[in-house]
Amino acid sequence: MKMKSENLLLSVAIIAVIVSGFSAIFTGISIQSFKTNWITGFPTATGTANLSVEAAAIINFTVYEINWSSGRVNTGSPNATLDTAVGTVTGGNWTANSRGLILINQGNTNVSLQLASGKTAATFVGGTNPVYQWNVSVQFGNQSACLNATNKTGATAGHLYNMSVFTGVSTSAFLVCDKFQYHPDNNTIRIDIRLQVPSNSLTGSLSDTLTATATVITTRPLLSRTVFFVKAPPT
Amino acid sequence: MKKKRGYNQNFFLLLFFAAVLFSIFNAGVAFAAIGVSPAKYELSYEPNLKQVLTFKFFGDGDIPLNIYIEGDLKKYAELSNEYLDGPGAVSVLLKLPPSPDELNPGNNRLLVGARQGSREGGSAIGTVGEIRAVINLKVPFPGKYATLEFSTADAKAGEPIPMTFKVFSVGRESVLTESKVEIFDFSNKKIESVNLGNFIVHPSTIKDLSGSLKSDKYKPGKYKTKGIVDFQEGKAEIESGFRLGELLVNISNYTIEFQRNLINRFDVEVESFWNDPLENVYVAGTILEYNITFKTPSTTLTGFQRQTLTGYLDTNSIPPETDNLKANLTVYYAGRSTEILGKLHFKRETSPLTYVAAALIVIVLILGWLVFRRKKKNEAKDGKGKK
Repeated sequence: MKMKSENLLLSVAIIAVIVSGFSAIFTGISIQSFKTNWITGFPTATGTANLSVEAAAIINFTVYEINWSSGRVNTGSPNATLDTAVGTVTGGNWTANSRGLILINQGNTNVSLQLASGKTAATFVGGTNPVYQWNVSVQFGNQSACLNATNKTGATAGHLYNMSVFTGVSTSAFLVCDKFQYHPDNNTIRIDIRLQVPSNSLTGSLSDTLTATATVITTRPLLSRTVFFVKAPPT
Repeated sequence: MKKKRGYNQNFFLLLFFAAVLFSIFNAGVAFAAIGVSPAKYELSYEPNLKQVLTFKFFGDGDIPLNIYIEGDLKKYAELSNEYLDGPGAVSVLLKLPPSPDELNPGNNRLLVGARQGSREGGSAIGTVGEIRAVINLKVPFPGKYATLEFSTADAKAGEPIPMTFKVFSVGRESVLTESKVEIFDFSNKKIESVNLGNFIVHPSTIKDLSGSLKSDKYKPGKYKTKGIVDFQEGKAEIESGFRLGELLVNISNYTIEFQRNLINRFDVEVESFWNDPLENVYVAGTILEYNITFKTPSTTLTGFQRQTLTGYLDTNSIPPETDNLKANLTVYYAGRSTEILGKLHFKRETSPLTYVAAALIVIVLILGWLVFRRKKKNEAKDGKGKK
């Protein structure tokens, strides 16, 4: 009996050794394969990752309307002034509104920006000496959102718009920003409206629409380029 | 069953509240967006080219869009549709003429625009968005025609200087070019010429020689660069420049010890870390606790020069119990400044009594030593006598 169990044990031990031996051989082959094929220190195969990001131009009015509700010029006052920049109504009883229109360049490309009103002061408000003005300013921290042709802020020759100063609206497209930037830290402008409503203005529900037109800017080098023709200049 | 019904009830209640919350949070959100993708196409002229270019317009879902085209290429383009109910795609079929002579040489633009319909509502001032994508067609010039783009950018000391150098062949014939970059220091002296090689640039192609210039031989300062392309029949040049390192002047040393009740000389040593000369450099100081100010005369620092500037500090108004002072020292140069906080103190003055006490101690010590010596002598004499 004892002999039998010893033999059995021996057989099991031999089988275990054989199996271990095969395992060791297999592991060794695997390691070798791993070393030579999977980790080499130099590429045995190369792949190329290509990513193409399409340019998209997007403008978004996050505040797209201004309302002063219903009101009238105070008795005895020649006119009332409604101003969203300071958020006041003087000489009238409309509800003050301190929210200007907020426009953001949410695309991934710079655009030029033009503004146009649908009406003039006379056709929007009417009466004696009406005033209808707009004022474009940058939001806090977005100091370079709206640049002129020299990549700076402020008015330049041929581009008369001076930011943060009220000027009369224009019914034809008026260039406000040569470059309205898309960078997240510099992509937001605010448009405020000032109305001076005379006591003999038009009555009823008065409204107008401002159109913001964004045109994609085709890339140009920032510094000067020379145009040089060698022969046969264009006629 | 009751438990399950209760569970279902709770679930729907939760869903309802979530919907209410969602509505509340979205009630204040107001957007009016319009966009287009891709924003532009860049094409080169080919005779009789027929190409369909597609633009996707998107924005507020319920606002219709009026589509239009305008620009130099309007008569060579057709729109697939001029109206979209909402977001959608529009195709432009471009049919170019057989000869480039029918077009203006250079860039020809076609704007593809979408304008929102008016928004319904009773607002006094409403808004409408309009977006315009661009198709830019490059038409070659007759003969040999090239444009050059060149610029260099600022870099930190020791780091390579980024450079853009591109030759565009925009004519109908190839151009043989020899390109180089010249570098000049602040005195306009040419310090290096870098040859970029000879190349043939074929029509409607760009030879891009952009890269970087080594700066290890240059000291921090401002430099001028010239990109030069020599064509067989002539030459084109563009000037640019770069700044290497940081414009900096430091305060490296200053007087720390002063006398009371006196107008003291205050020396401040400044050091320039800039290659170019700097004019009108001066130091201004303020004694913080007593608001006493002083200023040195201006000077000019040449490249990397160290110089001592002298001002005068009046300590008459400082009370006797104050031994230490803090001074704000600022050196001004080229529209900039560098500031340090200096620690100053008064010279320790020795009282006459101290000298008297010291003298007395010395005298006592000498006398003591003499007495001790005499005593020793006497003891020695006594010892001899007894023998």
